[in-house]
Amino acid sequence: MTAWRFVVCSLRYHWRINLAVALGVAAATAVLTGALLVGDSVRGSLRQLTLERLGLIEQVLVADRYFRVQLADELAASPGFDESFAGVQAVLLFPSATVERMGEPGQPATERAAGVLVVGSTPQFWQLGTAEGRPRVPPGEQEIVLNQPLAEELRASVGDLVALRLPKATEVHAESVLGDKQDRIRGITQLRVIEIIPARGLGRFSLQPRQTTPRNAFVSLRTLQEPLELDEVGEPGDASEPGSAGGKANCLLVAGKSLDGRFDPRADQRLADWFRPRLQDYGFRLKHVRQTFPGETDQQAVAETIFDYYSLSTDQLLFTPEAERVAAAAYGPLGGQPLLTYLANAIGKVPAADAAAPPEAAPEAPPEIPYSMIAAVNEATAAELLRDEQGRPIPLDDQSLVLNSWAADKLEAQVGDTIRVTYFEPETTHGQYVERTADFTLSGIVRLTEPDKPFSGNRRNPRPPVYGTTPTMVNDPDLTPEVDGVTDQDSIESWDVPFPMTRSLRPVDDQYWKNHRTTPKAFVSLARGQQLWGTPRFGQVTSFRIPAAGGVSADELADRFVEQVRQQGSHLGLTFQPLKRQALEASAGTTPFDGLFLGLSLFIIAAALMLVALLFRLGVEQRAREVGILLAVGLARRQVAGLWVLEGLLVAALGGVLGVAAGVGYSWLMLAGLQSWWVGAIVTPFLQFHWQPSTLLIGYVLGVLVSAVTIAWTVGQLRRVSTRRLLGGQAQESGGLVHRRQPLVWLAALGLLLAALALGTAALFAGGETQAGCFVGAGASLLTSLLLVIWGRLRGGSRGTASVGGLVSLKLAMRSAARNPARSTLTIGLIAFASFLIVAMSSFQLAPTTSGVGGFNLVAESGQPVFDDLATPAGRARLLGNEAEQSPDVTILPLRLQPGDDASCNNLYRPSQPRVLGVGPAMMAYFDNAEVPHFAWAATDARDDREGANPWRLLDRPLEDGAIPVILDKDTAMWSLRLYWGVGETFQVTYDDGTQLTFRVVGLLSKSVLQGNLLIGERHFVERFPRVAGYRYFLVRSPADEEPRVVSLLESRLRDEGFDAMSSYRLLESLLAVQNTYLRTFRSLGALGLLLGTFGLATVQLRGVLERRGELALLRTTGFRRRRLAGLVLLENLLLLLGGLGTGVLAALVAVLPHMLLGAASIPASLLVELAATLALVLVVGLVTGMAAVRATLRAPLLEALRQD
Amino acid sequence: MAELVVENVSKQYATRGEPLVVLRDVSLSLAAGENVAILGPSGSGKSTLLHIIGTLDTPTSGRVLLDGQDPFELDERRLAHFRNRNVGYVFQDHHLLPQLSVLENVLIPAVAEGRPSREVVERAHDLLARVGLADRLDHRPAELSGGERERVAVARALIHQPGLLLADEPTGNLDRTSADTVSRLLLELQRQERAILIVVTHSLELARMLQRQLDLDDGRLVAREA
Repeated sequence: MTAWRFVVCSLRYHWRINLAVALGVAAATAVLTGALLVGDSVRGSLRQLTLERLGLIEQVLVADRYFRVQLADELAASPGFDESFAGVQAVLLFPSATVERMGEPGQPATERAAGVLVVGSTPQFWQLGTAEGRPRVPPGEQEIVLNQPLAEELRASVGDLVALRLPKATEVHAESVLGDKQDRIRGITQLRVIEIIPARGLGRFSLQPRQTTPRNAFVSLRTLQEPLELDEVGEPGDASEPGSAGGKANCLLVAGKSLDGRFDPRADQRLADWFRPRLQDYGFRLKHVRQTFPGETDQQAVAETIFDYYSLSTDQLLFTPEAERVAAAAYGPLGGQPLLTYLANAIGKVPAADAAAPPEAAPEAPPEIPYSMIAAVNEATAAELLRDEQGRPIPLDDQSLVLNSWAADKLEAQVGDTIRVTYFEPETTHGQYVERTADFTLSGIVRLTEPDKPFSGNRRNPRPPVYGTTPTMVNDPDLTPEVDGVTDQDSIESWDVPFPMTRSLRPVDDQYWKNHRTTPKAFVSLARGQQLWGTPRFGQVTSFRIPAAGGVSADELADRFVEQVRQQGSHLGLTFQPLKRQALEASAGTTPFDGLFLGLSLFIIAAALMLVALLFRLGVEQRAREVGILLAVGLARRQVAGLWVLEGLLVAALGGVLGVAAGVGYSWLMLAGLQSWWVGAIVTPFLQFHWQPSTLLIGYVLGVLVSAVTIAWTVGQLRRVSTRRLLGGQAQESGGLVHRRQPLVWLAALGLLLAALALGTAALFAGGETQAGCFVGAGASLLTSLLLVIWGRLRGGSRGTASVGGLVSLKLAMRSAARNPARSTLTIGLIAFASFLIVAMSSFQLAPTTSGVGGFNLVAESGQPVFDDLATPAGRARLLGNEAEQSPDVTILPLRLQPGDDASCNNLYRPSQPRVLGVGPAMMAYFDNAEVPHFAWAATDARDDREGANPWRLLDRPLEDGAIPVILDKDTAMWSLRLYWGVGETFQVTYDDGTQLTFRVVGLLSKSVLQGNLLIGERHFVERFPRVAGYRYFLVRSPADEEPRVVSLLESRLRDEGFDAMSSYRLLESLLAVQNTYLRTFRSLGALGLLLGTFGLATVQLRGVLERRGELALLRTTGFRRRRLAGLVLLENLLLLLGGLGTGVLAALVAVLPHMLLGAASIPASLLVELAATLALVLVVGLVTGMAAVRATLRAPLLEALRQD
Repeated sequence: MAELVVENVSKQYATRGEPLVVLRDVSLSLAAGENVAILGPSGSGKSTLLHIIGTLDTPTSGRVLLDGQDPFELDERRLAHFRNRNVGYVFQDHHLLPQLSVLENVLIPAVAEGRPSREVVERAHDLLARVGLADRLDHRPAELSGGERERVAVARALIHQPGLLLADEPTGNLDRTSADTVSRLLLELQRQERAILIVVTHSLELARMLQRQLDLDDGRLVAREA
């Protein structure tokens, strides 16, 4: 005989109760394991989606410019490339295009979808994905393939014609002076839909990690290249190989060798080593500029070299600061000098009398030369270029200017005169050009030689002028970089510039153009030029002038630049991102669904553990004598407890196995719920069952562990029972013959009641979540107080007499409930607590509010930026025409947009680069008005009344450490970005180009439509995201009855930009749906737990019946019929149930009603019905399970029961 | 040789009114091999006295010494060991564990020491043979008659050769024949083991078989009048 033998024998002998305990353990384990498996499934499904949408694609390079398609072939040809990768594809990728289904010929488009991902590729693109979602035939020229969601939105079918609206290949920044703001969209029409593919495989290809299905359109590379003028690379030497795709692309997709997300760890570094873009791929041009006299075409034996250098310029017109650093490092040692050439609207001489007066005060416009180039040169270049007739250097400081002889002649200017330069500010905002002037002192005149023959040839092949006399160093039109539409035109009148040319052109000006083209007419110092015309945002240099000394070749110089890019660890916008790895990391998700479902299943777990405890306790009570015997024969209590715990552990271990299997079923049920009933929590049904062996093990261990702890606690309760009572079959002490009065209990109840009152009063003066917290705290205090009162009453009630009065059965039932006050109170308490939480939590159901949308009834986004200012009547008139006047009461606030990951609750992927919105001065000023509706704030860092009244002003607050002030929706901060400390918290975001930005939270919006975005001030925005131009996000406030007209007007007039407006209330509702669905899930699972809890109640009843079998038998001997006794037990059960539900609901109403009356919470009528039905169901199931106790009562053998008593 | 001394033991319970006194200054002394029957009406405190002597209950005042040792001075673990080694119980309801066999029920006190030694197992066999159940070793309690179950309980009480054997209505649930058998067996084994035997009983027949008879009357222990 050993302890083990004892335990095994006990297990076998008491198998029924052990089985019941094991089932309880199984229930707890099932819920735990199931919740963890839900987490596995969400993560696994997100991962699966990632693998599916990316196929073999591992690395991606998306540039903001176009590079040679051949770059892909060069990369693939790198030695060793095949070992790590399967291939590389160059594609044209537009993540936010507009697609329209075309109507009948001559009719406008009937359907439109904005924000569509358009991929222009070769047929090889489809080899990167799985067979799913692959079209039968890849699209050819003028053909298009749509994925299912896009086709549904467009109501398009095979054979229909659609049109694409894409951004033009314009490199010059739209918000710079020469940047085109109007003609930036190119329409590609008459594309025939040849197939609609399912959103599977590459059919759901997307760069953004989102579980929702993207809308994609696929065309051939050629179909896009030609209309976008990307079919030529610009250099004859770069012609593509026969058979391969040529032209330009903006994206490289590098395919790995496996579909399952395994990576070659060396891949990143190797790819970086192999990737060798050329100078032109970075968007730079190197031009050999050489001027000889006589000209090189002349048949002269000896030619004098006037100048001989290489000019490095960029497609973007201005060098970015990064590119400037690279160029300076590459060419500085060779004598390369930076240059900034700008367009002056006018150069004029200021009459002596006006020079002292401020420019604005000039009475009459003096003679001036319109539209001239001015070069800003540094000291070295000035010394080389700017010399007087005697060959002496002309001094040039920051206040002086040098004219060429042509300009000086036309202005009749002399050294010492004041020269006024009129120019546009280098940055335009909302498409507005602001003209400024600057005065200089003429410090010298450089001679410009007039040619004998002007420029000739055509635009593509201009022939230089022919000089009869020696040209000078400043006879150099290449001091100005090439600008499409300007430098390639035959006359100034032909210039294709975005700004209005209001100044009159004279024949002499046109003659200058013919003779000298872009040759600068004036020179200023580089420092002054950069001060006036350079910006940190766009750059301060238009070209580098590199001496062609020592016969250095263009190729050598180009290599030097590329090498410097590598040496500096720079990439000038051409960098690969490990897209698949990042996406797989993001698939870990923002919401820990395992934890969430553990929380949501809390009631079920608690109910299951309570059931385990009650059932085990029942088993122990049934075997109380055994415990007594073991103690009587000399086993220590610890030994006896050890035997029972060991037995319980074995039961738990067996139950755990069952529970793990049931957990799979539970998770399946939860997934089915998430796919249908609770789909609002995941936005779209995409889940599949996934599991990890470790999850099953963790679930098993957790389930068994918590059950074992519960069992150990139950066994521990026996410590207080004397051996004598145990031997008598009693598993609890009687507590003596007296229930002593416990004034402390009543005091505590009173104290809690007062606390409830205090919290309720405090709530009236609090706001937001504090108010909700106070109300719930008041309810919880009242609940506890009520339970103490019930306990006290039950204890007191046992002293009375039950036989007096008419309601004998009721009183007997109450007396029975009072037999064990603690147990009955606990039972009531558990049901009350659960019903309290279920009812109280329902009041947190969220509905869109005016403060949630900030009073804006529409939110709009455009696929392409809108440059004009929709906030002003003038801008609106320009964009919307006369119809704009019909809506004077409409407010439109435009925001800048840096695309990025959606950080709202609707995206389950973890955002790594959240989307950023730039809040402009118009919006800040708008909210200065206290009369307009404001957004609701959860918290702000406001330090004075002004900031408090309009926390958007905080975005302009300078922070000492350079961090960017940011405003977030609180839910975005908490759940997506995990900024649990809220205001004041600092976080960093690393962008694709390696830039790391530091943000500091200065305000948190509450339940707002702006959820998912980082909101920063426009000043910071343009500084940190200089390439982003225009506005793509709009808040619109219109009178309700005008809303349809406003939407129609905006969407039709801004069709090219892909303007798409939607109801902000509907958008907010979809954002709040996530939290509402969690609440709904919590209610459903809570109700399930409550139902399981009723089984516990039945167990308690059963225990009660077993304990007083003798008493019941005695009642039968006195004439009570079995049915009456059953009725008594059922009535007692009903009392406990009603007591629990009533107490819980009462306390919940105390918590919720004031909250509702104040308008901060609401419970829709449908929800009230649902709640009532839930509680009624609990009551019914509780009564049904209570029938078990009734059956036990009816079956109790009379004699045996009497004898035992 | 064991010697039991009970000195001025009193026991009372709190009630809403006056405390309920069950035992008043009970004193008793027994030497090894002696036996005594305690009689009295229901509720007179017989079982309470037996449980106090057997260390299952504690006195309100007074003390109990077995071989000069006061077990109530021991901590819980040592007290359990003391009971295991020095006290053997025979209950009216036999209190056998239904899931164990006859032999295992007899050996159950040995579980306190871990695995029973060979000697203990042999003694269990011996005891069961002496109570006439050598052929019922593997039977379950449910398969035995009331008298047989009581004999198993006697064997279990003696497994560790306790100095003190306590029997609480050992024949209360038995018919006359079985009661007689169990009574004789109990006394025979007590004599053989040289244990002190205290029997609480309503049965005068059984009481007369013992050396002394005491009455518990109003909480006081008095010699029974002939």
